[in-house]
Amino acid sequence: MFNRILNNKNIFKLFLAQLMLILLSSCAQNSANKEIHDPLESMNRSVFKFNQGLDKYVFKPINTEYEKLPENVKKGVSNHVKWASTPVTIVNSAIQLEAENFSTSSIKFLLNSLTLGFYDLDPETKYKTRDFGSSLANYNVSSGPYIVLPILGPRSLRHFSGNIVDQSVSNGPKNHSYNSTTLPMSILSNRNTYSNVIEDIYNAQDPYLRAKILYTENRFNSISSTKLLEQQKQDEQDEFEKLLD
Amino acid sequence: MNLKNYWISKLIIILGIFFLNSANADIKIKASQQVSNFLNTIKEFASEKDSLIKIKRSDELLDMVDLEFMSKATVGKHWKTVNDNEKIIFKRKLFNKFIQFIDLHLEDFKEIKFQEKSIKLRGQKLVYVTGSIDTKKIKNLDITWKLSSKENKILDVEIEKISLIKTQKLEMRPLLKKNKNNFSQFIKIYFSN
Repeated sequence: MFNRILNNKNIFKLFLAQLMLILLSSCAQNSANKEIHDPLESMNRSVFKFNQGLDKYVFKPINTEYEKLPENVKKGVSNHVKWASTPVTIVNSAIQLEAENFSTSSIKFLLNSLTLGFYDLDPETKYKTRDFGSSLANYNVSSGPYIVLPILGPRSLRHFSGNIVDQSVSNGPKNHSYNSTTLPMSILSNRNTYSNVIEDIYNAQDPYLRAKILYTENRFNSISSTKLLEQQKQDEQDEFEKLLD
Repeated sequence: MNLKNYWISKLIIILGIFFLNSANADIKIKASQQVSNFLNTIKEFASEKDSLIKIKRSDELLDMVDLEFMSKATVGKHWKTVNDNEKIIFKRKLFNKFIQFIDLHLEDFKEIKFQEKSIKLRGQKLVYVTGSIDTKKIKNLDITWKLSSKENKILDVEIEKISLIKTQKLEMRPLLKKNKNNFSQFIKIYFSN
């Protein structure tokens, strides 16, 4: 019975993701544009304020306690969170036809399975994190509007719809234990990793705007092709040289 | 005669390459030293309690960055329309903001460590120093320092591929749009926090 409900849930998630894909493909292709498409700004600002309050009264105090844990424990949690999300990278590297990333992430995932990901047995080997949002970007689906989600924070619509699909990959058809164990660890670990960034955001003249800029820039850098990033660097170099004249 | 000319031209080319390479190496060494001086001064500033020495250190930091360039790059085309007095105020406030940022993260900056990975010349006027930074809280943070090859001053810092200049520019843009004809008002609002 439970599995049936769970399967129905997955079907619903896939339906939702498909609906979002249709919405996204109808949007203009403006992923690399400098203006951030934010038609829901007033609603986003309200959710941002809610998240800020939640962080102040719930996540920040928890992080203060978490901060006191030994460095090895925090590193172990962070490693486990990354390891648990590796299947998403493996699947999406295959979708994006990135053979090297696919093999590196697969081998590293299998190797670190020996420690359940808590200890990184091969820290020298790195791979790029990939998700379904980046796969959509790879196939030229536009980023869609900027949205702020309760608890989860800033996303583009493409990123969010990708998250829904990715969750089905992480959960598998019957495994519902991922969310109950890894999700709280992921929230804790991420809040700790980005605590300096979060502090800077709250100290900004307009915290909402700074969060939006940092999210968009970071996302653009992490999912764009090397060619596109090099082009951006070249444009910036030209601009700087012009200013130095 | 022709043979002599042939060897002279070859010699000129070889000498040209040699001097160009040594000039480029000199630019790279200077840029690397500037970054390391800048970080050492930040460390000293963060560890210092005497306010007079702190001011001296902040003046030293000011000498190492190209504030005029930073202001031009962040404000964009509006910079041309700004009067001299407003330019001075803006630059001073921009630098104070940077000092405030160090003050906010004093503990982190006290133990800052930079591991240089590469130095590259970009175009005719720029030199990029790339490496990683370790602080008390954050480990292995990718960082790129962008300097002018002629003046050897810091123009921009890119942390985890996010440019400080670009972030400031994007933050200022909507406020500048709102206060198109009143730069003083823009300064007042932007630096209000």
